Amino acid sequence: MQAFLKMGKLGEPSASPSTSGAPKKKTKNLPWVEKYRPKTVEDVVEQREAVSVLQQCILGADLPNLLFYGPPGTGKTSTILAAARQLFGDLYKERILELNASDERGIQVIREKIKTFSQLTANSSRADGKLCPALKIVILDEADAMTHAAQAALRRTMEKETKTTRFCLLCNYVSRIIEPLTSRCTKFRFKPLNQSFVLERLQEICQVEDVLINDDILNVLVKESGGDMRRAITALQSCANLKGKGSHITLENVYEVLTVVPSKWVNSFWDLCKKPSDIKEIIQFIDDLEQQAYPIQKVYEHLNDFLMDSENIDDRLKSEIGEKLAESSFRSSCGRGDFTNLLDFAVHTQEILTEPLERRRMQALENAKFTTILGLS
Amino acid sequence: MSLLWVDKYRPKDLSTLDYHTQQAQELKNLVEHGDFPHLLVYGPSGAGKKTRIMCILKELFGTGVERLKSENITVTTPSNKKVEIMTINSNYHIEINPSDAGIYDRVVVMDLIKKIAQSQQIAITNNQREFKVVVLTEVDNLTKDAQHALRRTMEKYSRNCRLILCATSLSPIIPAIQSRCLPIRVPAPTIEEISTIISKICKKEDTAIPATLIEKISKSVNGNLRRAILICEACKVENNLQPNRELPEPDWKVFIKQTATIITHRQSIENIMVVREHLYELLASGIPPEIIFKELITALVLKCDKQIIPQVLQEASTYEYRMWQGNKHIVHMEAFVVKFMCLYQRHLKDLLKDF
Amino acid sequence: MSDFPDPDEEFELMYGDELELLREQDQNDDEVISPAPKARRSLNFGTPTTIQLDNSIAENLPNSLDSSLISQSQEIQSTLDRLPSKKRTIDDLFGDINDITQEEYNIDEILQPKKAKRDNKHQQDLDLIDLIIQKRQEYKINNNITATVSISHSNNLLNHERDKHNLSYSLPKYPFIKIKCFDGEFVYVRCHSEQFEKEETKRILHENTFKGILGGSFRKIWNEAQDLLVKEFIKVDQSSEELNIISSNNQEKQLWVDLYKPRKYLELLSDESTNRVMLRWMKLWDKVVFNRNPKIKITPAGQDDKYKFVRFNELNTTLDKDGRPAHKVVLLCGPPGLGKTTLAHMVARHAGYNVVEINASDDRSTEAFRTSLENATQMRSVIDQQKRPNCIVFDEIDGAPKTSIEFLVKFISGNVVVKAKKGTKPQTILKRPIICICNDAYGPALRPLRQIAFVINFPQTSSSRLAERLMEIARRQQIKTDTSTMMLLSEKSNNDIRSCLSVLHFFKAQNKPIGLIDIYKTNVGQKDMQKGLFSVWNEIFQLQRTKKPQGGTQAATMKDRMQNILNTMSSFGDHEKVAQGVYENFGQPDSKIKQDLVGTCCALDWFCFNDLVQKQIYTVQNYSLTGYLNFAFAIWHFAFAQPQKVQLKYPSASYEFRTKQTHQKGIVAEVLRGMPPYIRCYNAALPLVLDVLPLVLRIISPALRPVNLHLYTQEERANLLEAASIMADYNLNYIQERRTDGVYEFNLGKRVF
Repeated sequence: MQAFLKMGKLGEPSASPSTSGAPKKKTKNLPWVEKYRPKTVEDVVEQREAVSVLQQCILGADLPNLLFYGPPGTGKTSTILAAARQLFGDLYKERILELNASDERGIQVIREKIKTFSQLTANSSRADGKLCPALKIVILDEADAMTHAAQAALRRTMEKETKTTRFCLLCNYVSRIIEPLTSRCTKFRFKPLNQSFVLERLQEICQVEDVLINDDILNVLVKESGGDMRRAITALQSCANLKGKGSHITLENVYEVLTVVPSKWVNSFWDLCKKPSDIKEIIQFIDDLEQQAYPIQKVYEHLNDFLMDSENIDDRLKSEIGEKLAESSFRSSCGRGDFTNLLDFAVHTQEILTEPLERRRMQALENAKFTTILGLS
Repeated sequence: MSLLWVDKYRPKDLSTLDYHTQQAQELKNLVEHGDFPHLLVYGPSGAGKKTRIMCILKELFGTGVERLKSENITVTTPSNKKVEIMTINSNYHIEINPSDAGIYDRVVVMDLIKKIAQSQQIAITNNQREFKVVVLTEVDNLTKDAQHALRRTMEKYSRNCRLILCATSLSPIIPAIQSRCLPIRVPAPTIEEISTIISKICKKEDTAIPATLIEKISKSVNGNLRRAILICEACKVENNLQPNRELPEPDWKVFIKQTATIITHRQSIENIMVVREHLYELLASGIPPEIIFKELITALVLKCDKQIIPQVLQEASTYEYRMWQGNKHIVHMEAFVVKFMCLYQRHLKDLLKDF
Repeated sequence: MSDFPDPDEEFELMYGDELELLREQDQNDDEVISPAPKARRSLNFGTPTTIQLDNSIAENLPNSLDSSLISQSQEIQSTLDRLPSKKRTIDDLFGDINDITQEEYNIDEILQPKKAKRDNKHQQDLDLIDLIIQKRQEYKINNNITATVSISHSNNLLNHERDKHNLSYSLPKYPFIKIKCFDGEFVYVRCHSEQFEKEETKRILHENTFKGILGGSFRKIWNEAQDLLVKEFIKVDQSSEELNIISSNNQEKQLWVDLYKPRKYLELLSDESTNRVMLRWMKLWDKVVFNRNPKIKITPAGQDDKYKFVRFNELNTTLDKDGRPAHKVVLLCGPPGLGKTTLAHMVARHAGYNVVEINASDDRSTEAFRTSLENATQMRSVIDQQKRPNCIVFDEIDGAPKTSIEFLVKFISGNVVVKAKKGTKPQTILKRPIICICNDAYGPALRPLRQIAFVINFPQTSSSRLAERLMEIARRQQIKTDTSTMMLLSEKSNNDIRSCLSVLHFFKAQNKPIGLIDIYKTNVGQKDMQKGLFSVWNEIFQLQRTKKPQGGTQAATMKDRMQNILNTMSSFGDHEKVAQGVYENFGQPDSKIKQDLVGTCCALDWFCFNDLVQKQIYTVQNYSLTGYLNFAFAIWHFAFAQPQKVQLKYPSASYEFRTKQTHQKGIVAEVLRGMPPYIRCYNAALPLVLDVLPLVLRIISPALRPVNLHLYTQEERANLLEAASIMADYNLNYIQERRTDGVYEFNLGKRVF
């Protein structure tokens, strides 16, 4: 480790991509996500509400405290960064304090770092003479990962420093932000992006970066990334990198990169559940599936699609299977019981689909009786 | 030097990998392209994740990565507790298993990566990369806290530091990390692939091994190539290469099967106590609970009547879920065993009634 | 003339009595064994003239005769009359006492002539206890009535006329014994000839039959009075008015607990056998402290006591080479309010010690502990004129810091080198008795002490005795009540005398009669009782029987049982320990706990539940969930409880499991650490355990012939070499170990599954 480290130390950690002095050569290696980040608020796709409010602010209106929430890759960070850059121009670096989950964000930091930062006064003009708001912005990225105690410590700071400081909280789940904080902010929900917007953007990038990809494969990519722009762009870049220059990106590449489970596996699993197959067969299949290392959650998602699409299943049975699916999926996501849960789901679906309803009712009743006996003893 | 066959015949280059050759080619492209993303390598145990990672590193940095050193580093937690972590490093990369630090994995992830990322190589010749690689193993064992910490660290130090994460399953990894990495799936080799590799090794070792035995081994290992090669070598050392011989099985597997037999043999309180002893023994030996559960369920389900299987599995998944929610694994396992005993006994009684 | 026997002396009385029994058993001691030839003397003049002539160090005051012929008391002028320089020896105390006790013994035999010869010690003990209890009752009767009716005269039979003849404040002409009264005046009591005494006794007895206060015997009157009190407690009867001896302003100043603290051995309410064991232990110190031989039969040191069956709470009477008892320290343990501290003080004072008490209010850091210990054991109080040796009482020792207790243990076992100014001072040994008092003997801090101490478990006071005493106090305080009320009170307070007294005090303030209803209404004894772990487990595993109102017992209803468990658990608190105990005890074959598969299944579900809740509590710190934990214990109670007594073990399996797990982890880490890096980078802990190690162990054990190395074929050599290098790669090695039977065998250094 020491040998590893003594290769030389540079005091300067990685600079932000916008640093003016960044050498040109570096930009080549920038992730496309950073490279194609919107530069101005106007560039932000969709999210009309937030954009319009920010545009007003840039034109001189008062900036409220902000809370952006929504699924990943919908442009929350991009929006606020672009707005800040427009607001402050060159002063951008000193007017912004960006904190995220990787920084210490306990109560201590809230108390000291944020306080000291917010107590600095800000000038109302830029170096180049342009006017800019006498404000500083604290961006709390991934605010839902903050502890409740830290959030509670924040609320008073937020109120006290309104004169000089604005807060911008970014999070995926607004429910994890405590009520007093949400009530102090203007909330904006960032919707998942429309696929056409994503497709448009990707096509632009493909042209600029010389990526060879068929339109239908690109469509699959957009569809599988589910309205997450970052994911789509990253996937595109990864595929391009994997393939190298001059060769077409294949469907398999997209699937691999986006960790999609090929439908052949889900199909055969579904077939196995439909007919009264031997338990050994099911176990063998699940073993094989596990060896493929597909993410189990994706399997469940696919199974759900299958369930919804299959027309020859009675709706009542569908709901029963759906319930079991939800249970298994949830349990899988909470622990490591993938094998057990899948097996449980398979056997139950099989039972639901093959056994007559009355018999299952009888059995359920009997089981319930048995359980109550257990409870009473 | 003579080694275990597993180590002796391990491929060292991307080009010499025996299976998933398409993927190997793509990885090569990726390395050549110059812009190297963070990787998340996942796949079942024994499928060759580590082998691939080492190959990638060699592709990136050349033979220099093979000059490995072991080192223990200490990390100081905020509560001033010193945690010692084993690392393996070369001049270009460092490998850590942050889950070694237990609940302090967050500190390890943050401090170490920061430290590494902030140190930069001085002389960047044409051949060299301007980043170093941190290999984190068993990422699926990281706490959520540590994963969140990792998420930003990855972005922040992306200029001079790349991460290669290694995991057996994607499920416990938060989406934020998944979306920041290029996922590399390493599925287990197929039975045919395993057979080919074993026969190749045997040829090199001048060992005549019957094809039927090779096939038997390949089928028995559930795609775990490491185990396959080890079993093969064990057979050779024992000088018993008969096609119909019993294959050596790890003791813990045998032990779990015995436990299942005890459970189905008789349902009584004394047996519960015996089972408890067994479970304690297994857990104490470091067999992870999910593996115990899986093996036990497989053994039990194969032993019991088709009629009660759905209910048994329903209970199994409930108890396993609770086990992950709780703290004391043993209690939940035992509760499942006893529940199974109850169900089994009731079913036997019902059967007797019918006669 | 005094009627109250001095506590010391009274103890000697009881004690001597016991000694006699022991002595009689001792065949060697023929001097004492034959009490029969001695002429039976009348008890009221117990002191033979010889002793009186013998410088009359101790004198016996003839106590007034009771009709039952039991001498109550005798006075020994133990200190003031004695030459100050002389060391107090037991002989001059016992010389006379023995006579008396012997006589008593005779009386006892006369009273119960049919009693079979006691052939075993246990029987003797019981008899002795009976005797003491009997005497105690008589004493009480006497004390209550006689002591209160007139201060100076303990017996109404003693009329003034007799006094005039026999007592004098000035130096009389007749032969006399000098007696010092409470007020410091000397009274001279006439010594009659034996002949006279006989006549006198006859006369008194004669009188007694016809002339009581109300024309009946005292016992009878007492019973009548008691009946009166019980039946119509509203009416104040004359005697109880007289009972109010203690002036009221005095009462105001003192807590009743102090006011009615037992002042005499016979007033102790605690279990008789406990008291006696304690006393006997105290007496064992006589040899080293007072340099006199204890009157108890001493098992000679070095005697083979391998076959001796030591009962619980039985004293080991062996002395060590320094003449000290085998146990240097007594650990008195029991729930609060039973009188442990009182007993310790009483016993120590009886045995002639000056009590040095160290309790929770004192500084108990190790340093302070050391100072007080050393001061108490090596010095003697200057202020105390009686020059009594110290006896240290550590009260509430379970609250002391662990280091202090460790120091105490070291001190007791003589491992502490006293910091002496001249370095050559020999190691001091403990020469003073130490009594430790605690509530929970199983506290972790007390573990070292428990091993070396003589542990006396303090049993519950019987409710009836407590009730009697409460009645007496009530009478003195002029509280109108009856026995059944007091019975209820004592039961309700779990026989905690302190809380009973507080309740009484409270009622006194209200100044109205106390009936059963009042007691029912009060919430005495509902205090949070911290029970021991084992008693909590017992409660879970054993069905409790409740008392029916009509008497007799019945099985508790489900509701009561559940309520009971919930109460116990919510006051106990340490859910995890208790749950662990239940978990590890329920299925054990020898525990006699109910075994039932379905019940167990249900119970285990609740273990899961508890585990989940507990994890939630610890991770989120949501302590409001704690309340739900208790319900599991009720379920376990229903699942496992049965009427028989169960055998419980302290849970250790989970601890052992954790140690083993850590050990195993350590081994794997060690294997990994020792691997060369080029191997290690492909290995991790889990695959190592699951796949590599179990199979590597097979690979590294090739079939080799047990012959000399150079006889191996080329191939065998290669195999051996290969195995060795693999072992080196995986950091495995064989370790030569010697088995217990002396055969050397090679074990793989790391046992991996």
